[in-house]
Amino acid sequence: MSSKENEIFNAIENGTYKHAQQLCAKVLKKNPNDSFYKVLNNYILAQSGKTTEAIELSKPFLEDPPSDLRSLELLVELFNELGLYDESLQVFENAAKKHKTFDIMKTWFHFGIEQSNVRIIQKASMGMKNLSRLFKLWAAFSCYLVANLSDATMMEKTLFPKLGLKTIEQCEPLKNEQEIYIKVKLLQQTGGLQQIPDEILKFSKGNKLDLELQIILLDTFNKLEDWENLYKWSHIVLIDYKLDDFNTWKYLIKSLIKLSKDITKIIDDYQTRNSKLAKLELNVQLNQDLHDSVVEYLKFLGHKACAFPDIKSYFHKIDSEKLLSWLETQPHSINDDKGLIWNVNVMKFKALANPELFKSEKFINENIKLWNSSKHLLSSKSKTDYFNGDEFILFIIQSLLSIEFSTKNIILSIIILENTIIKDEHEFHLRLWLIQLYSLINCYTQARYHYNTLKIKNVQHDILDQFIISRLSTQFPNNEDLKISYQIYKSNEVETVHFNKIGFNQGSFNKLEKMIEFQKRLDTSILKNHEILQGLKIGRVLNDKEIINTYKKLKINDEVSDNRDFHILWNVGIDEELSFKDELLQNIPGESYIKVHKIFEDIINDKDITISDGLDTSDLSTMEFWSFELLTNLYNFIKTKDTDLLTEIKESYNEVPDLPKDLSWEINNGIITILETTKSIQSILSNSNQKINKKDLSDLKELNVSLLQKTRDDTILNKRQDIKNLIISLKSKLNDDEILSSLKINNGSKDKILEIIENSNNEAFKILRLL
Amino acid sequence: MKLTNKNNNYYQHQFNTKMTSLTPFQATDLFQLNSINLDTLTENFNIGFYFEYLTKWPSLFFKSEEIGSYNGVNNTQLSGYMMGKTEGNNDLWHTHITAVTINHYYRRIGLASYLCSNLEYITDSTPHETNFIDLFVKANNHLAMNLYEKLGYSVFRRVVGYYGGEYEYPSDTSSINDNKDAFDMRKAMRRDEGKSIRSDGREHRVLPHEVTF
Repeated sequence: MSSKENEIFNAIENGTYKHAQQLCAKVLKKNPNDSFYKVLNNYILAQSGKTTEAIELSKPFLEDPPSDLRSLELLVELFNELGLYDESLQVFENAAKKHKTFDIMKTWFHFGIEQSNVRIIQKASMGMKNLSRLFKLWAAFSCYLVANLSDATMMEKTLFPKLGLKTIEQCEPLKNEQEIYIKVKLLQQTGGLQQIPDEILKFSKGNKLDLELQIILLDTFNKLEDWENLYKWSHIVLIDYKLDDFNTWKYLIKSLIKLSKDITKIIDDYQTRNSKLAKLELNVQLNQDLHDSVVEYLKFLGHKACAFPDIKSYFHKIDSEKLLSWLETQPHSINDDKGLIWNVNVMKFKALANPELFKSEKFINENIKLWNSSKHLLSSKSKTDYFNGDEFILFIIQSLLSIEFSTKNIILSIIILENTIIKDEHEFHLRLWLIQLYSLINCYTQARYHYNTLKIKNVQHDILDQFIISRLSTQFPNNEDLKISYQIYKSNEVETVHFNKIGFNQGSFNKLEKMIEFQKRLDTSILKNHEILQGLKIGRVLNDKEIINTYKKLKINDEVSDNRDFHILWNVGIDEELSFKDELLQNIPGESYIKVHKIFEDIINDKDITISDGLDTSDLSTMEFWSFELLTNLYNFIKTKDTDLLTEIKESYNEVPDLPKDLSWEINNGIITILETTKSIQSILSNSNQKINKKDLSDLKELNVSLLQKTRDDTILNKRQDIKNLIISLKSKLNDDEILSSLKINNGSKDKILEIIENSNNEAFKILRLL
Repeated sequence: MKLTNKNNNYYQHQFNTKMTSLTPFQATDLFQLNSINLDTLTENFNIGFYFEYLTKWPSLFFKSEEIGSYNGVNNTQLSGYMMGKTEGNNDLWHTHITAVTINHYYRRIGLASYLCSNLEYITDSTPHETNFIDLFVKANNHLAMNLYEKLGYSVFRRVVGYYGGEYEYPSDTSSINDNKDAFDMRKAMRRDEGKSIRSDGREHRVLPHEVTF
């Protein structure tokens, strides 16, 4: 980059667009035909807000694209920043059509990877395929990728596999498993199943098959209903390859049944987890009663933690009453881990057979008794090892919350969990439940403390941060926590893209499809979009323009990928969501929150909006809904001057929803939403001098300021006192609580945790005073 | 085609564990790892690290899945995974176990051994044909060492300060600490001809920079 160009980009960076424009005009004068400076000029226009002009001057470049990469890359960036995403995708395609140079093709191919867009990858690699064998492989593979897209057109589904197959055949002889993989995937798409076994076996030459190809081979024999070969190869995999694989066992059983051969003896002769479960599988295939096989399995492995998930898969085919009666005849005392796990498993089967048990106090008492009998084993376990007895505690919590999802039961649960985690600090389920329960009662700092102990890193941020970062702007507005969470999406843009390019270069084809999907899922992650919105809101409530500008540059997607793992909370006990799921996760919104808040942002930024009739607002809290309604009414009033809307707006100011009287995340959410709304309206009104008559403007400003002041002066103070009183009352209500006493948790310990809850609420209020 | 008792004994010898399916690890599996990777002893690497293994050693990164369903809903869970690689030259051309980890519900049923054995089996064959297989284990992790010894591994050398962190790099090998040192454990493949076996491996001490290939 020349020093002049540097100067221009510095001026853009500093926001001195006029200066940048002048500098650019000078270089353009000297180089009137230089496409880069022409695009740069449009880029400056776009940056300075002259979007219409920028668009008008840039679109002709799509018709007559320049040939230098710098201009093309800047043009892509320009269209992206203008929100013209379709146009940005057209830039390289049109340039490649016109100029057909290798540099443009290759950059277009890499652009496709950067966008995780397999259609671009396919087009670009087809353009290069005659230049090398590797590019041919890319072209063939990307034909498979496009045809395998969930939204592939009929033409893509039918023509592309044929095109891909023709292309891969030009690469023969194929050199390794990865190349064979491309061919068999294309054969699957073109219906050439018959050919697949030969292709795979021709390559294997007596060596062990590649795992991926072996799975495809067995699957193909199954689809072809070639039972002899299915039997032969599942036998080879199990015996010669020593690969003790459940799916292969199932194929072995299926093929032997189809061939009318005996298999019971094989299964009976082995005393293994495999053989016991294979017997269950055989019972299922032959429509036989499973009870005896289940008993046989449990006698063998009932003291292992895997017993419950293993048997659960067959539970709907088992006579559960008969099984529970048998389990009752098999008492095990909790003298060691084996006895403990047996009892945990029995409890799980009972609860699975009758989920209504969760709503009974008897169930709680039974689990308390078992916990008290098992906790002595905690002292003999290694600190980092998993303790199965904790499942009794989680059953107690789940039961309490099933009986009544009340603040009292949430707090009782927290007290129990805190007392357990002291003894078993590495049990992550206990922590996750604590984090979620603390979040519900406005204890962000306490939830954060537990979250930090889990040492969440890298991809984990995308699948777990919903428990800590959801609605951060109203729970504990700060950019530091958000930045840590958002980092994974920046890594995705660099690391994933880099390795996806390497994946193509190295020909790691059986991994590439999911690598590209991974990149896309992170890029469009629901949490990423949620965090961008939180960043904008945090910037607004903290009056920090730098934060706003940082997040304003980021794109909020229309379609999102929900990668969040909620199942991990339920991956204890019976491994099922329970009746109180929605109440438990009430503070964690989904996709509709993003859609609504995107409109919210557009209104604040004076963009045109359209609100569809079916807009889903179910993810909004009471105060968020009030805020959204107020803001959309204001937007419509400014556009239409409809006086009915003005009346509605004034009514909204007088009908601000009440804040919860109990401990709740909706307290902070409510207060900060009011503050953010009034601040936003203040800004809208001050930009609307010409659009609203003076009297109306003055009335609205007054109503707005008065609500802002009232919230700052009175509401926060009152709420703090309310919480103090609530904690005092809870301390006395929970004195000598029966469940806590049975678990040997004394009043002192209970009071200490209530004080922690009060302090954490105070921390949440403290931040409100700074806004 | 019915199997004989002789074959049955062979089965019994080979299959002493699980009801699990082995499948290639895919990038999107990283979204499903909570039940395994929330374990305090399991490392969560950055994207680049996982992707390097996916692209460079695609066949040596695989997972065990527990396939099931309940109420018609697929209930398949990842029960563990293996990250392996091949590295070194000439006599030191070998397989390295980078990570092998198991969901707590599927522990103590031989699943870790199963994953290790499969990696060994794959890399003993073409195109890999390595000389030995190795791994590092913290010197105080007796549980893991017992497991690997049962699988035929033995201590080849002690890496002083391997887990000490970059600010605690030892100046020499004179002082040992079970909490910070690692044992480099090896199992010889048939072509190694015993070169990777030392009866007094625990007495051989090296510094961390000496164990790079």
